[in-house]
Amino acid sequence: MKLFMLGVDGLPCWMWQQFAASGVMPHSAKLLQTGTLVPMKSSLPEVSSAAWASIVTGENSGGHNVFGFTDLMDGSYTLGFTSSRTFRAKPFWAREGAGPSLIMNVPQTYPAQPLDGMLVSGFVALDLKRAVYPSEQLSWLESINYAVDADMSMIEKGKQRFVDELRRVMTVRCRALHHHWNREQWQNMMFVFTGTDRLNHYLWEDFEDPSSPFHQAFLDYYHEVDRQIGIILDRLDDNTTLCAVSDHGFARQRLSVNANCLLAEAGMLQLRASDRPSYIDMLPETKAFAMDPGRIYLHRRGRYPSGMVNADESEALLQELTALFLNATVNGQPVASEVLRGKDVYSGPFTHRAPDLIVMPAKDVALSGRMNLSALIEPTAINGKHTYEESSFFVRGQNLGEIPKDMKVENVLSVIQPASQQMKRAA
Amino acid sequence: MATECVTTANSITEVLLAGDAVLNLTQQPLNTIAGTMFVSSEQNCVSLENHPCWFRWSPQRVQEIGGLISDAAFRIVVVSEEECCDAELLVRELVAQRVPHLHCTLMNPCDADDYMDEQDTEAVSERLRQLGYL
Repeated sequence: MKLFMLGVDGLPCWMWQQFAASGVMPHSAKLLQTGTLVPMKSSLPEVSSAAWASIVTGENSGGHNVFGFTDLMDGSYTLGFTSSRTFRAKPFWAREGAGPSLIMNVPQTYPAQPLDGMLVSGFVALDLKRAVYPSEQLSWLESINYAVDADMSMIEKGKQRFVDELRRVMTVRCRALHHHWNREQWQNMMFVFTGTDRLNHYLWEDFEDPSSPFHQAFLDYYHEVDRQIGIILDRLDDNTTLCAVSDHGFARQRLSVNANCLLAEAGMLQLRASDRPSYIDMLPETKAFAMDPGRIYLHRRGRYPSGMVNADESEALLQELTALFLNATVNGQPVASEVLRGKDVYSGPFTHRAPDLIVMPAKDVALSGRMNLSALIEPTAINGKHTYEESSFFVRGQNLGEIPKDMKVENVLSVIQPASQQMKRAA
Repeated sequence: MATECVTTANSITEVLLAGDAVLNLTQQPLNTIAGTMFVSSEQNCVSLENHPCWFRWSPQRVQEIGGLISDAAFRIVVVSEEECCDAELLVRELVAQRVPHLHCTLMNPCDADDYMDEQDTEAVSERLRQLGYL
């Protein structure tokens, strides 16, 4: 095998080191001694769909066209969802000469598309039948009750039930991984643990509070992830390049702030009355709107059906919006730490589809882009949020490229497959 | 910066900009935006047309293609199907001649194209709501 890429969704670099050192993740402790672990920056914004797309294609969002889980279809207010069919750059397993690949549970790969090998889609997979390629492998997966997603409604039945559900899903996915690993001589394998992200979203407060009754459940889940990592490591030989990555970091979330409410309060967003407000309800007077999480778009003439913002007024508006978010406070707490310009952070053929601004949330704050403006501070059971900084990048192997000092998700392929990336660039 | 992407004949409008000159090596009709031009190889000469046309590639034409770049046509968008040798040769030449270009490979139709109907939309929305995205 040439490459094994292991994903642990939402595992911060500092936490991996901490858990390795404290005995929560003993197999990781051994692993980390055999290669290089560095903190990595996520996509902008720090959302899994865009970050995993960058990891597997070597492009930022301007190159692969995934800016979030949602997007508006061009020239309309129709909300679209990003999927494997809206992914506009080739993942490493689809490139010429890649060889047979086993790809499992990678977010943003649903519905499964043909490849040389086998793929089982990850989040947001809905239906196992459409999540598996080739379809001949479907019946075995059905026979073991393979789960394309955890039942997130279990959180309403209590945190322990929720953690049990995450463990059930991880167990069946790992069983499937090893079953299919045994079937063929794969050249590339990729497997992503995604339960870690769900756990972090709902039990981060319990991780931070050692007196919480669910603190140990949090640690035990990571211990089980580590046990599965150990089983994988035992099967890898020294000739295989091993890369272990997470797509973003994690931190405490105390406040979920609706960015569209802030825009509406400032007169930048105006909606007509509606029972289920959506983008189509934006009035022509709207100057800007937000999409998850912190993507700000000018309501430009020509780009949106009733957009009235002309090119010559865009700069002044962008400055006004930047000041709005940087000065905004909710409950005395700053909302944003930084506001970036889309044109400064993206490159590639889809840059013109990028958000005009990316609002980086302040400490403890998460931003949403809901069009329901009923609450500036949104009630939510989620208490952990993604961070741009401190995702994890570990690598060991031969013929590796240099790890950039400012390591980002779109640099992963140029480190682990430098020759392939150079060929792509040259082309 | 990436100079290649994968897309579909319908979704190619996502990547097209006004002033693109589309060089279509496929036999598929393509969706367009206002201001899309096409590179034609009719009558043994390369020209820009305002109507859709297909391009028949020959190596001698590379010099002529580079000559199409102007204030009106700022980029050549080569559209091909998967594993198209002509496209590979053409793109290599465009790189060598430093002609601004983008290579779009059309994805083959597959079962995944049935995604997503109204039911799928609702199901995805629910998943994203659970994680706080919607």
